[in-house]
Amino acid sequence: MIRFFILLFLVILLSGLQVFGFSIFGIRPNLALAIIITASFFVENIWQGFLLVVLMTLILKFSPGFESEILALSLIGVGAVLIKKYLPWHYFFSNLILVGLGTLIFYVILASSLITSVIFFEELAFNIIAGMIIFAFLSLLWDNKLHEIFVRSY
Amino acid sequence: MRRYLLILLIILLAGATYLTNFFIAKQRSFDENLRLKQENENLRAQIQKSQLPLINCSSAVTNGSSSVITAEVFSTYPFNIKNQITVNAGEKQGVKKMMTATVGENLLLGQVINVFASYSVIQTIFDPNFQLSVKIGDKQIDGLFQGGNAPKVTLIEKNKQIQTGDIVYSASQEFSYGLKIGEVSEINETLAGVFKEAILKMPFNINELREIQIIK
Repeated sequence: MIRFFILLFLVILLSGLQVFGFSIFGIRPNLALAIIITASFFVENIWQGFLLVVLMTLILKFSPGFESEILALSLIGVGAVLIKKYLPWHYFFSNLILVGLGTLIFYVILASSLITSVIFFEELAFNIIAGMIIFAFLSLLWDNKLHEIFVRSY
Repeated sequence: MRRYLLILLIILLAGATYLTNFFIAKQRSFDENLRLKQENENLRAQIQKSQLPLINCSSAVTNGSSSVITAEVFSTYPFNIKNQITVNAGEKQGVKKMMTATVGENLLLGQVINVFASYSVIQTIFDPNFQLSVKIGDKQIDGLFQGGNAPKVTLIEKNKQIQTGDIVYSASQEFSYGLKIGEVSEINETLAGVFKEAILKMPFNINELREIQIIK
């Protein structure tokens, strides 16, 4: 259960960072997308994955009324939870591919005219890097290696 | 039992997200330095505006407090594909679609695109789809402003002289005339073509805004 709370905490933290305008060189990485896809590889069942997705959408929703962006992001998150186990590659690579694909789908649905722009490629790179870092962090944590690292350092 | 609890939570959160007008207001803490910085930029824009020809007599911006609605920024659109903000003034406060939003009455922020009972959504000048006719400097050279992460003015005739530091101001009929947008910080000129473009330095950071004005 503690692992699920760690995932909850990370989703709240990274979605929160995104809504408060976290940016690198003027580009806002889609941290919510990166954490939700990466977390889908670490949840115990699909219900935990779905809960993380709806929590993320509730945090990101920025105005009253319906937002198609939030629906698109939810569908990408739910899709990741459902298809991750059918991907043939190692989870690390599957995660990178899903984060990249998720970013592309997000733009195709909502702003296809921006796909050829620098903004898209910069965001794609940042999202993939964020996905890699989160995956590495969670892998270490799940294998208790972080604990070992900290214990050995003292 | 735990699974049913999770499903119930999922239904509740999804219902709140998609079936209600509920959203979490993400107001930032008040920062006196930022407010002073914005006030300073606003006063600078006012002085610059008064020095431009023809703007003094034709300005549509009134200083009377009854024509301006002050609103607090509730949240900022969290993705790169758009740049919008939600503010805590809506129909009840007299906000209508297409009204002009400013920072301190002299700096153009954007346009109201969606109005709810107590909230409004503003498309800002940083939105990649935001465009408007502008004029540059005291020679009033025409150009087309294009929003985005690095806002710029395009379609500037090559034979027209502009220089860094020239102010760029609104000249579109949809907005109040003479609202400052930014200053020219870089001029890009290619050998081919008949136009050049100017990269702008913006007078405020969208992520630092706490309070904005909507001109009625």
